[in-house]
Amino acid sequence: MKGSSALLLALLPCLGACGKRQHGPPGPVMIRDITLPSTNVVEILSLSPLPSRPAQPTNQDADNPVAAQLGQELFFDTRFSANGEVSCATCHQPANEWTDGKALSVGLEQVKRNAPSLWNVAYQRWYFWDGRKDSLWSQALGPIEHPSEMGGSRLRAYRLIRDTPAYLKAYESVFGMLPALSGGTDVVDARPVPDNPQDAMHKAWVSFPALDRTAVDRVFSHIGNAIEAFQRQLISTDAPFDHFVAALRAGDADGMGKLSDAVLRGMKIFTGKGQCTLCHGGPNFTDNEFHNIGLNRGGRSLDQGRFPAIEQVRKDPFNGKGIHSDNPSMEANKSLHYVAPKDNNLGEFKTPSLRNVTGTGPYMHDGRFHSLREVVVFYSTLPDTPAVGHREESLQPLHLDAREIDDLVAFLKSLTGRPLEADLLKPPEP
Amino acid sequence: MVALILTPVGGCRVEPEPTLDSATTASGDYTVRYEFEPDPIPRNEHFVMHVLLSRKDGLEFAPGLSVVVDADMPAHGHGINTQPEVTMVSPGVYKVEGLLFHMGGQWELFVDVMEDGIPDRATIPIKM
Repeated sequence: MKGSSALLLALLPCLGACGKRQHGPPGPVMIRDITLPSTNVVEILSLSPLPSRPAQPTNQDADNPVAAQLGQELFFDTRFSANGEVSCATCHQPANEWTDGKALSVGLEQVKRNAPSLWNVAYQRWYFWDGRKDSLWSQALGPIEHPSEMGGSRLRAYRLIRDTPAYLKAYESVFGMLPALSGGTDVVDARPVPDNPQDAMHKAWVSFPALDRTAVDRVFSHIGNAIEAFQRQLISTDAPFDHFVAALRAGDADGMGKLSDAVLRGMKIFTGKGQCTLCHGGPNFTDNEFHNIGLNRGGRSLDQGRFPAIEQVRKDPFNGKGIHSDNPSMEANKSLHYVAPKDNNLGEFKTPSLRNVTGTGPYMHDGRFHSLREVVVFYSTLPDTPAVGHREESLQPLHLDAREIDDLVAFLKSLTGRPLEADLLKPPEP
Repeated sequence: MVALILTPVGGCRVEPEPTLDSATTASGDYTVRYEFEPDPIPRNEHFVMHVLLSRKDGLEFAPGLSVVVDADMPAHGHGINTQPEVTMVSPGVYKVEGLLFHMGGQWELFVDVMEDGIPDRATIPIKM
């Protein structure tokens, strides 16, 4: 049965849309022949709407439109890379839901992990699959210098700003005058490689005076600031699921009835017996933390995930408490200040947001699953022995039947938001 | 700010707020009265715990006594991803920062009263 005439609404206490204080938990809801118990309704209400993007105190230009415009140009610029062919957009393609569609991404060469989507990155607490960065601006610097990704350097990035008039103009309007260097005018690439002092880029880096190195680092951090300002605009919201929740709050039976039975049944599993919201909770469908879901090695080298990354982020000179942060206070960096490695962090990877998840495959940190159905089947069966550490013990095989698996996939597809403005999908017009 | 009136107590003459929740350590020697800020605890956000510690026998605290706080999810096999910091405001009064419950479910918050390096644990169950 379809249509509002077949929709029985049993929405009991005020759900908030009436502007009055809630009294007690909401009641169950029945849509056509599908009942969402009160406990599910509580969870469903917690998943929408997506709030405004959070403040970013360590980057004072995070919401500066001029910085965002510069960041957009830098995002698509291949000149950061050693071969002049790789940009941020190589692995984070606008037409591919800000990922690359590959199991393992390929910059200058194939890397060890899947490229995560950039949808709603402004809402994250940690960056990279292992959380070795604590801000989006700091994250943006990593691939520029990674030998397998762009293979460039902070000096190359500095020179790109200095030698591109449009970049220099935008840079100086946001960040102030670009500092000049006292020497090294013929050097293209230089960056610290502390693990290999014999590296040519490291030798070049230490040959610069300390003041020059500090200046280059500062400009490098500003490049990250600008790229973050651009990426903070990549927000997925207004999905069919959000419209459902808005209708639920408003007691709008017709609005709630627009979702298919399969989506509603999937929603019931997601917020009920599937316990998916334990990790994929909140309006961005993630707890912003890390879990070991018990994946085996998958024929690849051992990846310890979160555990070693905690020391990396604490020691990172570009973290939120460092000299290049716009607010290094403890108050602005609580997550970094209090984070500590625990044994259970072994083999953990970040919980990805599920907004727009339909097009962001392949899935998992190593891209081992090519479809959402494969992902759901994994959680239904949990067939693997963890590669390292121990599996999150709340995960138990769900033993879903074929229709339930299809329903969960249908629900996940209802999390696809409205498209971005077209001018965010390409380099800005000159 | 919280309603807890954290008057220095020196291990005796504790006058706790009657509304405070409490737990007893495993030995039965200590009472842990506590309050959260904000209350209720928000999911996946940092919160502060205020602790008022007292001895059941009313005696002074042992020299060097300290308090350590941690939390666990027994059904999940993991705890919090932070290392809380405990600051002694005055003898018997502690402020705990760096707590964050990132998941819904059943948590156990541990307050270990450390004497000579030996913990005496009060366990506080919390449903998120």
